[in-house]
Amino acid sequence: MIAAGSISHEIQGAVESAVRDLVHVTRVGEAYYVNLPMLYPDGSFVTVRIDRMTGTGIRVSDAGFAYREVDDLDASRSFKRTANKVAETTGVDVGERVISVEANIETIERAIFDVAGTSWRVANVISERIFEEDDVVLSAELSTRLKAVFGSDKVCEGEKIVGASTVEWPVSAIVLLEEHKAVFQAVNDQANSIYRASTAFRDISSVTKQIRLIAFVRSKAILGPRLALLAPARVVEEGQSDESLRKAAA
Amino acid sequence: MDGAYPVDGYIRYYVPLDIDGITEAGLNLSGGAYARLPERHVTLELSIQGHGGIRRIRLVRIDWRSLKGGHSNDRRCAGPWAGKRVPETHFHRFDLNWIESERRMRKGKLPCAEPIDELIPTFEDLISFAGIHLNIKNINIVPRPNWEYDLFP
Repeated sequence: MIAAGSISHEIQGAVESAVRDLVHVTRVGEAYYVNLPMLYPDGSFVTVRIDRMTGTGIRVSDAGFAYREVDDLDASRSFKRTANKVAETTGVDVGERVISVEANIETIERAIFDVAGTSWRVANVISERIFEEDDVVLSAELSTRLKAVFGSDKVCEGEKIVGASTVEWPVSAIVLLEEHKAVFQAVNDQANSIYRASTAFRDISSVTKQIRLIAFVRSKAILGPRLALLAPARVVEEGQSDESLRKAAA
Repeated sequence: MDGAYPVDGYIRYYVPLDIDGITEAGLNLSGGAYARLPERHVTLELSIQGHGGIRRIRLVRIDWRSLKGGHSNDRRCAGPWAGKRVPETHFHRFDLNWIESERRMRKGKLPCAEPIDELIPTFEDLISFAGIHLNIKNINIVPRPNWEYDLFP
């Protein structure tokens, strides 16, 4: 609880210092770079560039910083589509790599807000989407590993397994062994991925014991107590050896 | 780095690295700079490809004279710079971003950094600094970007 009159001079000084430091401006040639108190996913500050145009006209742009953010995530192809959607509500222009708006000295403040907000949202939306797509990436990694370990002719992708509920569960890969099948499912640390795998494993294991169920995860430590939800499957981390994959499938 | 710049003038390169004379296909030094911003906003990063070559895992990054206001550290970073802003020239050191107990890098694009106290006035000084701290012996082969200097700024 904050008590009236309880803020010390030390805290007051810290607050005032922090607030003063929230916005930075740097002049480079004829352009100004303004760093705003918003963070891109990599921890750098959302920054707009202001260039002079004719008369009192100015151009405010993000200098391509949102594009750089998503390009670093190998998602540059998503930039324009996502930026166009966000720009519908903020009224800024979207180029191949740069988000910008033309304004004048009367409207410069709003132009900075709009460009910065759009740039931040575009980087954030794509970054979060990449994160959610992690299980797709993990599945692809798993498939590559399994083919290398067991041979391409033994690995089936895009298959479904019918559980006791009669629900058909899509699984990452099935490895055909001599006496049984090993079903591998890539599971990321998102709740949806864990709960879906948990339900599928229990449903499938109720039908037959002739299927070995294996969860393929990036890190058991990240899953924490949720690791137990993956029972009755065995759990293998991506960093474990090929021999570990063989043992898990056996 | 050639003269065919994209519309935003950003130039980027990747250099595969050798360890003990053997080229590690997934181990790269990458760099980036803006053609029209000489001696500003340069990034050098060391990364490896994950399994199957699908995902790039960043190991260390040096940001030199960044125009994005420095870097804001996650409050969960280790060391005295946790939760603080580091200045425009900073080092995303490996050990700051490595979680030993889980044997992995922190999530994101190297969320922890510390300031570089050493004076780095030129690109050549930056390359020397990177050579020492990224342990790359012949880093001097990295060329100076073909920056476009405006005679009438």
